[in-house]
Amino acid sequence: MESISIANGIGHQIESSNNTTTIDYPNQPSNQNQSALKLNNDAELILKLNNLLLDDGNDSEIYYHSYRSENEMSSIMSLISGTLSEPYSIYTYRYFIHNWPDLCFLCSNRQTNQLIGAIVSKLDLHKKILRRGYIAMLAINEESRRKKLASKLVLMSIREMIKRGCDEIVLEAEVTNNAALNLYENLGFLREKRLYRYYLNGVDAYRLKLWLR
Amino acid sequence: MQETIGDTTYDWTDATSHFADLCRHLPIGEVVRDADFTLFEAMTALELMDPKMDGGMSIKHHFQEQKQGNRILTLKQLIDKQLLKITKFTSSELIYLFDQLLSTFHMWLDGHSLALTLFTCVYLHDVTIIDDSHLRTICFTFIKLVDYIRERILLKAGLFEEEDFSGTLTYNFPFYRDFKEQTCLTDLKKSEDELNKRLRSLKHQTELDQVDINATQQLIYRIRFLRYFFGLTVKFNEANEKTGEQTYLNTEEISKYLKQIDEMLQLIRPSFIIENETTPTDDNSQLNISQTLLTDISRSFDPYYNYRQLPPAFNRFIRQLIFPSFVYKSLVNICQQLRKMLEINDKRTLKQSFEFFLEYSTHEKPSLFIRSLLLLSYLPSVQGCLLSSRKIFGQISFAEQVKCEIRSFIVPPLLTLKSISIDNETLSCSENFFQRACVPFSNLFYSLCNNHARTREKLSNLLEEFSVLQDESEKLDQWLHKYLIQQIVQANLSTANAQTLLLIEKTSYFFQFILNWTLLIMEYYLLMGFDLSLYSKRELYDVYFYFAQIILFTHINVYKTSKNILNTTVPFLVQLNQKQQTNKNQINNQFIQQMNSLIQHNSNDDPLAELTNENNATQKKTKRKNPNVLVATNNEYHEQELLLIHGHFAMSTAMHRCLKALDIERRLKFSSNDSNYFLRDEIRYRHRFLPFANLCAPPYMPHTDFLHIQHLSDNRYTASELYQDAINNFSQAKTYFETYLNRITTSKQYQQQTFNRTFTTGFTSLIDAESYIRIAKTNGIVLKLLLGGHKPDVKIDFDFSLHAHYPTLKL
Repeated sequence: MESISIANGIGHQIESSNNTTTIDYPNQPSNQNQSALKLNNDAELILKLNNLLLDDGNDSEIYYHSYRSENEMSSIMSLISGTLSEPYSIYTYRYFIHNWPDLCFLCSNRQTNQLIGAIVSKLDLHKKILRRGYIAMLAINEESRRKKLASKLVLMSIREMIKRGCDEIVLEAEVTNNAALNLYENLGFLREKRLYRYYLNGVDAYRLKLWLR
Repeated sequence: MQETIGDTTYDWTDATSHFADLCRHLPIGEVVRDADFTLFEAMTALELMDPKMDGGMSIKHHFQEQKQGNRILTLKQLIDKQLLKITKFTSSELIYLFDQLLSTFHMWLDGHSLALTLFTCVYLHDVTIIDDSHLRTICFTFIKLVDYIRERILLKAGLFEEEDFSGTLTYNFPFYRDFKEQTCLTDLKKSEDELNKRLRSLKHQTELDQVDINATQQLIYRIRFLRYFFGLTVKFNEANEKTGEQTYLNTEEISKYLKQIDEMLQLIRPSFIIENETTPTDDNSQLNISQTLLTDISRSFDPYYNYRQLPPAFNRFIRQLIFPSFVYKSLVNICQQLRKMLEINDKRTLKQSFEFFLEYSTHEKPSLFIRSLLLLSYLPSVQGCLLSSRKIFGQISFAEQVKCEIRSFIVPPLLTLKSISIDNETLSCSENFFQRACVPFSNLFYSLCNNHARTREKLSNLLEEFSVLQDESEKLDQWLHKYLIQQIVQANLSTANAQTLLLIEKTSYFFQFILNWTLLIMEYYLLMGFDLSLYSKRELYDVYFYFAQIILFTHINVYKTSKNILNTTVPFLVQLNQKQQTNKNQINNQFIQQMNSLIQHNSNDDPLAELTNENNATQKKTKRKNPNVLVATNNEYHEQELLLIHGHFAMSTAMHRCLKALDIERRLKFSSNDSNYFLRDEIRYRHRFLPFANLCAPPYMPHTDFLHIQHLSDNRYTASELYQDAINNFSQAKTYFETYLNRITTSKQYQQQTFNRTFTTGFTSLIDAESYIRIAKTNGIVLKLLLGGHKPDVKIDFDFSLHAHYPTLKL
């Protein structure tokens, strides 16, 4: 698979490899126009996303990149385990990141190379028919909050998923996590279900879902 | 090197350097794995050096000795090393152990596993080793208690999901199944008597040991409490040993137990461990026990005892048991909930039971234990029997109850004309329908006993079943239409009212009945979305519009239809029944024959009973007083339901009108047209209302049609007109709800109430109605201000704190 570089922001490049196989759109029982329409919709969404990611005045201190090698693993782990409430073993990180490296986006400080934020996601076939994107983890370190960094990472992830033909995107978030809930809801994620006592600490969660089809 | 852990001796070889050496050959990021072992499996697999899985790892905060030798001492080892006592326990020690066990029991009920709760008490691993009869009895009882609840209640009810409960794994712990429940109860009584003797002798000593006297008294209370509580528990879902059938729940006996338990709970002072002997305070709420009195049993609870038995990806690790004072408070609460739960026993109809289940789960927020008891009280389990074949209260066949329900709702001739005899084909066709209806209806009650989040999911599945039932009911109606008219015409009635006959002919009785319940479920499903805070603000317009103009609108028509039928045909049917009967007790109609006893039992709810009983003095005496239903006169069929539905209709209509107006005036803080909003309206509409898509009625409409209706309804008007209409609707809603409250609070049943009932009709309780009135009032005022052009630049916010179903508008 060839590498595709995507322009993002002023002069910034993101290297990403096309690891997730693009599945040919399955033959729909409805007519051809439906798939053409869907693809047009997708193209529209991708254009919208591209514009959004170009628009915002980027902080030149920060640069975005996708996952490159195991060297980055320990900083990702320490960032995420430091911010999220659920404990994950290294195998969990590896499961997501090794299988879908192109859906793991990071942002770091240009000068110090310190990792500031990370998003870990995957795209899979759900119950054999649905292409479902899943955002497993999203974290920004404490000092860099409220700068829309998280939104950008989410938008990048969504864009990548749409490019690969995604039908819906899901994630879970604690009911008390208002920052996350607002972030996703402003993008169009809805609370599909409430999950009683989902987290180890006994807190409920919402399953957030963005329907694209 | 050799090492002994527990009962096994291991022979280890150090492989660290060898392993590290080989690892150096792997580049960064490379992993060595078996071909079939993917990273997905790795997530749930063992991790070296995790103390949960790796036998060689020690646990940080464990007892000193364990750290040195990496060992967890078994009960036998503790006794051999004389680190734990098994005989001659003091009253204080027994109280401590009792309260700790009770605390573990409470945490187990809350969903934690047995390995981390009850069986952290080392004594429970071999109760027979204990020499003290009191402790032995207490331990056996707790084990039997847990076993009974697990086997006969939680597993039989089958309501739990992963998140509710993990207490079904038994890890090979001993449960002493040969030991009977009755033996426990007898032994507890024996202990109590012995302790009473001991207490008396203590009080007669020359030097009174006040600590011991208090402790012994408190111990007696606890043992008595345990006896009552265990006795109470085994009364639920009790199986007759000979027949295996459920015995009818004896509410009087249970109420008595609850009263006794309450008395004990008043007397028990929860224990509290104090570090050193402080001056005794007058604080009587707790029983202070000095740490020094407990040295001999300091190892009685070990939270790590079963650690190695836990599965690797285990959750909910607990480190500390909950304080006894909290546990006893929650027990008081459990008793209150149980008392309230017993009210299910005087619910006569499906609708009343449904309302009770809703009200109970909303206001009491019961735990899994209580929810299971509720389901098993209503539908006791029978060995090898499906949910739908169970009998209500263990006595009434579900199909019979459904037939009775249909009869009171819409008086179909099939179930009301005594003198018609039904041919076999019609009989089997109809009976088929009734039997099939049992499945979704019993599932409905099952669904309502799940935790709230799961209930909503299950209701959406239930709607699928009801859509099938709608089809079936239509078929049955078609079959019966011709058949019954023939019968009636053949009866050659000169008093036959042509209009009434026409009405009977064109009414789809069974379809209307199923539609009524379908709508109830749809409404509750939608409102639960509010209860669980699932709807985003951008959705509110569509949700309220759908609720009002599609669901409630249809429901109003259903009630009106039913009311019309009842008003018009009941006198006619009664007349027919009286005329046709040559022999007063002869009933040709097989269905009425079957349900006759149930009809008599529910005579208060039967629309035909009132008129026939008017002149029959003897029958009046046997008419039971049903504390739940307001006795309806002829014109007041469905009066309460209609008031509430109209109230909700007005509220929701007001909401969507004012939302539209706010949108026009750009007073909303959000919009679907934001540049970074990726959800299309049409897609959202389709997914949100997906559970409604397969129903016959109300028929599903595609988004374009929905938009069209919205346009006709709201888009043609100016903001001012919409505000005004919303104001009018809020005012109407207020009136409807106030009338409803009035009717209830001035009724005899309400004023005579012995229990603390909340009187729910449909899904609306009195408390709900009160909140709705306040919301309608406030919103009316705010809208009047907006109509007057108040603060044109300020956006409006929605506040759901008064009630989850409808927001108050805030400037």
